[in-house]
Amino acid sequence: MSKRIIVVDDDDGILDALEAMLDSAGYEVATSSDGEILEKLTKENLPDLILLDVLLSGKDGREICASLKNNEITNQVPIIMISAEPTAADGAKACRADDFIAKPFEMKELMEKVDQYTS
Amino acid sequence: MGVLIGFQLDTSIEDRLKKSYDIPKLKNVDNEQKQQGIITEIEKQTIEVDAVILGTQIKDPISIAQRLHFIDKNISVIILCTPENYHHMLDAVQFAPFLGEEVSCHLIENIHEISEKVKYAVANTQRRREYQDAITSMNVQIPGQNSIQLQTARYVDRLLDFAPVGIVLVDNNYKVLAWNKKAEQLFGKPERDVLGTSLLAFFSQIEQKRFIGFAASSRSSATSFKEIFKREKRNRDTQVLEVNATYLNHGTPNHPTLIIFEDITAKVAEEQKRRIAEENLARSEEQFRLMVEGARDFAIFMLTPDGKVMSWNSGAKDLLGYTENEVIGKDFSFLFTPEDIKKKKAKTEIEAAIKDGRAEDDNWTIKKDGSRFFATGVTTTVRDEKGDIIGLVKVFRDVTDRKALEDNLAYLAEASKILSSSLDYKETLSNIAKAAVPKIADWCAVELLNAGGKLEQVTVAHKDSAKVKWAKELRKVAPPDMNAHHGLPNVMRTGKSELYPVITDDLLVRIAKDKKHLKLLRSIGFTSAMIVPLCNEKKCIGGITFVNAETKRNYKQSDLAMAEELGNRASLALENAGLYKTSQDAVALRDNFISVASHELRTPVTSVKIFTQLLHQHSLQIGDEKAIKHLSKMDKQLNKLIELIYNLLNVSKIQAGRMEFAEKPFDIDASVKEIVSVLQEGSKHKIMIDGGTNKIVYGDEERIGQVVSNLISNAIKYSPKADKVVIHLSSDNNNVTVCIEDFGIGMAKEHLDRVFERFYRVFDTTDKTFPGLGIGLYISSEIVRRHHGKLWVESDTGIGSKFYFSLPLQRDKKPNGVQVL
Repeated sequence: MSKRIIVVDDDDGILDALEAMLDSAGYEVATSSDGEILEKLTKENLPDLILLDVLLSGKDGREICASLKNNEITNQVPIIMISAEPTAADGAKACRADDFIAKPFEMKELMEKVDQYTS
Repeated sequence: MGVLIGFQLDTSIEDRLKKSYDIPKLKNVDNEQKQQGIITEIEKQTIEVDAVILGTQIKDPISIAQRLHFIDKNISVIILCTPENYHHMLDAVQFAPFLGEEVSCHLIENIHEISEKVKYAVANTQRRREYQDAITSMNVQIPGQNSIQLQTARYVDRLLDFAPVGIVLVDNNYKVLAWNKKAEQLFGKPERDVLGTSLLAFFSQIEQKRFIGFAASSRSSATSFKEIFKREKRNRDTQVLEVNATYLNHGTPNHPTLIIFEDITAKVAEEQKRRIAEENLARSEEQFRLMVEGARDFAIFMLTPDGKVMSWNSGAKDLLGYTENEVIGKDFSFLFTPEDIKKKKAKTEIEAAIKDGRAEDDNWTIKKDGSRFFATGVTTTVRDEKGDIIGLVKVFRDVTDRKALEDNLAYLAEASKILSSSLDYKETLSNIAKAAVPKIADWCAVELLNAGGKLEQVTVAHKDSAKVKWAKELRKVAPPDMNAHHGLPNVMRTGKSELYPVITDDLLVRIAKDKKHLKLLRSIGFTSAMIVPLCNEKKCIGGITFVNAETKRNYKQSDLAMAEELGNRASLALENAGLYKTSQDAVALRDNFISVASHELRTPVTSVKIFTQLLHQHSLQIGDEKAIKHLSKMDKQLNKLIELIYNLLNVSKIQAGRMEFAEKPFDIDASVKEIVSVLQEGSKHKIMIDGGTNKIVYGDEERIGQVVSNLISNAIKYSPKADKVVIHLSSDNNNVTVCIEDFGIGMAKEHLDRVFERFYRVFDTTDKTFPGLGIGLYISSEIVRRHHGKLWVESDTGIGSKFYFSLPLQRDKKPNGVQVL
């Protein structure tokens, strides 16, 4: 059974690219532009990894990250935060994200991280 | 024919005189007794002697001469001398009393001179004797029929010679009968030469006529006359003679006239000199008076030493407008302003003048009507002959126009400086108003239309801050009526300035809104005002108002010209301030755009990059060689694009002051080596490292790496024909230095200082232009600067460039590792 990854980004281009990348690497991918999908997570359908954009339109990825980490059900799911802002690393650490990657990144770079957290 | 007598003559002389000249009657007497006999005979007039020659053997020739002359001064006495006694004899003759004119000394060997003298003496003595006879025949009472009378007369005759005036006796035809020594001096001729000649010959024809006229009238009335006559002396000098003529023996037909001459030439000259001096003095006093009176532009006061007005000129009268009664006797402090009186300037001025002899003063001065003018002048002391101060002269004139011009120019210069000092127009206008007070105006206000189109008072200045507050209140109570036909609203509407040289009460009544407003306006005491517009290209947006009140000055056309010029300059400054704000806004907009753009570009480029790499991966799987090649080139270009975006983001961060540094100690040599190994991949240039710093530096390794990477990339980019780039690493006790040397196109000197500026590009007309945004070096320099380091360049066109940066080894370390600058 393949690993499940949820990607949240308000940019369709990123969503498409990450979906294609992860799909070709053999992952099962679910995408969301607003992160609502993360609110409906249950014990039964927990993903193996969440890729979460810091800045979502109308929402703050860091808040979502923090609430997931505060939730007993979801707090075990690794979260990699993505941002166009390299300095957002600190913010990501503060909301207890497991890792951080700044746009633009090399595919290889992200895949290494993804593989690391899903193995 | 008279007789020639010799006393003790040498025979040789006697012979020679007898032989050489026809003087038959020379009788030489050797014997002293015989000599006495002859003298007695002469005295008794039993013989008539013309001349006596005294030989060298005679012991005392002077006494014989005296004796002879005492008897008859007409006898010529010729004293023969040896060379030994000649000079002595000359002196003796000169100083012996009672010697007449006819005594002479001759050296015995000058026989020719002696003969000539003898001949002359004989002839002359005879002639004189003839006139003597003539006088006698004229019934002149010449005593002398007996020897005592005769002797007395001779004494008188001699004494007359000592008289200080010229005494002349003439007959009724003005022929000279007698002539004393002084007369000889006055007329320059000895008696013997003038006896029997006309006295009138000494005078010009005009004077002769006068003389005859006076003589005739006084003779007929038997009175004497006293007149002044002039004559020209032989040396052409004019001689002035006071002539006192008295007729003797009235009633006789041929009575003589006694004339006394006194030479008053010197006296007259002295008198004339004195008179001329007096005339000159009078004239110069008159000229001085005229000058003082004529100096219309100058006010001249004569003051007592304690400052009371003694007199003044009409210039002062005209300038000040007082009548004489209002001024004379008054203390001169009435000229001073109340401010200056408070400062005791009047007193100081007098004290200074008395102390130093003069005191210069430049003051505002008050006229009778209360108006002021700026006077410049001087007060000097006047002293009498003894040196005591008898008064002061205060001279001044109205230089208000000149002063105003100077003040205006100075103000305009200052205002221009203020205008160029800042682009904050509110501040500059406020400073301009402040600078106008009090030299140019008592009040100065600037008003501008605000964003709402309402006229707003930007500033109002007066030297008294309480009054400023009051004026602001007044402005609130009575805002300007924008439809008014006078004042600022009118100026703004027409764009034309207004000048009110004199503000009359009528004018106040006209502009007042109501009684309360009028009362307020009156209380300010306006004397003069001017208003100039402030306009931009399109319309008038405000104005500057200058008002004079308490200083009672009046604005003139020349002041308005200055104000208008200021208005123009201020308008320009306002426009510039607007342009600057627009450009600042544009710069901010651009920076903001760069920030947003660089941020927004990152997301799509990330996505494109992922797809490219996916395609690349896919091509590898299916073995599509062409696609692999193209996609890896595409990926490289994407990396360039990403770097550009990254740099743009850095620039906007630097601009916003938000660039962050994560600093910690790191091995710079290792760091450089790593960068080189990355860059060497895919570069045809050989990147060589020379030396090492062997130091650990403190800083943001990634940022410093960015600098190294940027400099190496540039070195490669700008040396397309070279095959290497050399990196020199070195250090000393204080710094590590990294130098990136290329062998490329280099740069001209004029670019060296500017290559580190943001967006600076080296445009070369001869070489091809290299691509780039001109931000890499800017970012590098900012990074180095924030590491307290230095970045610099050495370059030569066609040879290559050396970019250096150095980092200090010692600096304050931030333990937390993150530094927000």
